[in-house]
Amino acid sequence: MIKRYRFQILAALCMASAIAACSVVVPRQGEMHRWWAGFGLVVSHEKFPADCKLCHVGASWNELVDDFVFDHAVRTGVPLLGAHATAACLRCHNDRGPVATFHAQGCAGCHPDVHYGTLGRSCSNCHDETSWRVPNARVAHLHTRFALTGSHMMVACHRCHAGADLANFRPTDPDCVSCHQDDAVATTNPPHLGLGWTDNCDRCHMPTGWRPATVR
Amino acid sequence: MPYGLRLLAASCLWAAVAVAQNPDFEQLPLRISSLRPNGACVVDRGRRDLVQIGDRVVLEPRNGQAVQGSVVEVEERQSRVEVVDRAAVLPIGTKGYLLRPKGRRAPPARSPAEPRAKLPPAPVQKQEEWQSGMPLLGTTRPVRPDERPVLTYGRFYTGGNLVRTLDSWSHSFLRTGAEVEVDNPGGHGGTLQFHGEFDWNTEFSGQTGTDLRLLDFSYAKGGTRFQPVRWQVGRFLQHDMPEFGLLDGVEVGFRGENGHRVGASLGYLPLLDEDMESFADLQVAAWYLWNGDIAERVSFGLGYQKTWHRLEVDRDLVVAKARYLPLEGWDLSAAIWVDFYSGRDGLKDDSYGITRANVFAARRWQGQGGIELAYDHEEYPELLRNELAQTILPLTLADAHQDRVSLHAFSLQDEGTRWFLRLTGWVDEEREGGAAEFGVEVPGLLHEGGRTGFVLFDMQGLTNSVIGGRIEHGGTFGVGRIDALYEIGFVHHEGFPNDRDDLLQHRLGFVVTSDFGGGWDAMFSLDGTLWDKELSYGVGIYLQKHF
Repeated sequence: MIKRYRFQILAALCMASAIAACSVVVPRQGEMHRWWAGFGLVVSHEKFPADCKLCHVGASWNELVDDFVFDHAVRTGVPLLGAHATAACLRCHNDRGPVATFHAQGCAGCHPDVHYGTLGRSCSNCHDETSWRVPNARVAHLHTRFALTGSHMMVACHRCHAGADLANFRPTDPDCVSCHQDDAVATTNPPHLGLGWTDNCDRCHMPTGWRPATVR
Repeated sequence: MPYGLRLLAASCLWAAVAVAQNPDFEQLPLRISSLRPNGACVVDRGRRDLVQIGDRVVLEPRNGQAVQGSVVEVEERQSRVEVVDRAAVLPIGTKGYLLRPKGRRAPPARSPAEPRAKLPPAPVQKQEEWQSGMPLLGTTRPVRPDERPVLTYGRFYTGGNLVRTLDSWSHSFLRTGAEVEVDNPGGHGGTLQFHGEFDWNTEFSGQTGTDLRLLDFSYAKGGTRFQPVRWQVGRFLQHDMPEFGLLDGVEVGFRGENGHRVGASLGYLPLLDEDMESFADLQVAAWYLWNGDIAERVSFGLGYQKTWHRLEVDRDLVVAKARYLPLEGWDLSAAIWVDFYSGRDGLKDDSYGITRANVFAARRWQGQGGIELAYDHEEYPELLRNELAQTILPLTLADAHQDRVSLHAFSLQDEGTRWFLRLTGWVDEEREGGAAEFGVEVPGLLHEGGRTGFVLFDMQGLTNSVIGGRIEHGGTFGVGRIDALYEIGFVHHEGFPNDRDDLLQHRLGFVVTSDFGGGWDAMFSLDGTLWDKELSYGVGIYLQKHF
């Protein structure tokens, strides 16, 4: 059912996402960081100037002066880098407990370990603070058993690591047939399956491409 | 600044200094607390400090050039000051002083004979738990999660790659999805989470495959300082023990005041591959996490997971993990996965096997550099569950393993130059190998704010070896951040008995990351690899709206 209407579903989802994305109103910077009465006291104000009017206007704590700027680096000694700069205060300052505890633990203090604990603690070896995307994972692959050469350099991660789209990078056996058995079975000229050529691909093929092959 | 204005400012400043030296005035130190348009600023002295309109103020910014001003508006705790030189740069926090006549005194105190108004008794503040280090001010009653307004966070994203390699587009793909988190839906203080996506992948032989994936759809409540019991139901990544994987079921945990946690979960394990099929593997798990103190600088965890594959006994897994995170010193962590086997597991003779282990140690010296050491071990567990969507021969399943040690050291120089070295060594059931990567990143080589890197590397893989170099450059331009890379590698394939086992491989990469504002950001990439007269290339785009 899904496969039959895949393009319609894809188009509908893309359109729905686009409409939803365009219709979501992101608050202005001041609003994002504002002191909202509904949230309660989010940040300790002990060292702030005594005059509330320096930041707040009107009868509600919600409203801040137009030129309000909260310099997190200056006020707290912790600069907000990348995507953290536009995050709402409550994403970190919330009811889980002292934010200093979680900040001291690095990324894992706030972000769940979507790699199921298997890739260690050094998130910054692959990720930065702007986006979770890893634009240059191919460079990191140099430190594995299987250097990416030839056509493997352009292969999407999920073609070898079946769960890569779910951040599951569990080991893939580096033998050719681990990923290419389907190719061998589908090849009819010469008929690999009929000739019993279902493993030891390196007898004829280079890992840079199926052609040329030396039949031996 | 015009010459006449300079003269006026100098005159005023001279006059102020003269007044300051006048024994009839005293200096009242102050500081700029905020800035106002047209050369005005607000200082943290007001009526309670006996400040009056017309008082002269001297501000002393760090550039050493004193700026003269006068008070034009007075409030109880602050005053507005207009400076003569409106072009002067006066950041918030600039110190200065106000010249206050010594004869100025506060209004007379209330007469003792005058009856004092009876003040209401001070409210008794209820002592909340977690007083020490709590993020909210302790003398007020924090708002409870169920008293907060409904708030929604999340993102929509679409990304894809169009890849041409070996006369085929068979590595292209497109992913589009949404990740949404709603706080306090329905006013119960919980959190509703959703993450789903639609994937379109080209497959072998030119066919295409599509998948609708639900990565998270759950409701969680508790786990706060007001409610130590936390429960979550739906599809989600297990909260306290992510090592146990995604779950279709329920998890319950309790967090004590000392940070210790105990919990259990029950449900089905979806397969962690593109299809995410579920309801075949039932699991029950329990764990205990010990924390040395509330700051969780020392912690140990122990968990046990039992699974049944289609109601047939399958896996007995124990996961132990530890973390030591001192304020100063080495950051240490370790985790180990141990599978216990029984007579039903024919390929694994041992009574138990260390399926996976990792040890990580890191030390950073602020502004100087750091070092990271890691050890990893992995081997295949024997499962009834089809966890690995690839062909694993029985012999491989029984014997295959990999142990890897790695070192990453880097040094930061005063001018921002960064030297780094990465070393990796590995051994598996067949052979051993490793990789070395040494490089330097230099700031401002091509333009201000940019970083240029030069890297040399050598690796010995399972079937090939590569020696080469890489030039990288990244920096911020008008459209956003641009990163470019060129890599050349001399590749030797081992065990291939023909004359094409040596080749030269070039790679060119180009990535633009841009933040359009309003929550929109995007990434565009171009990638090409040329080897032995073959060219592969790809174009990628990733568009995201977060809110």
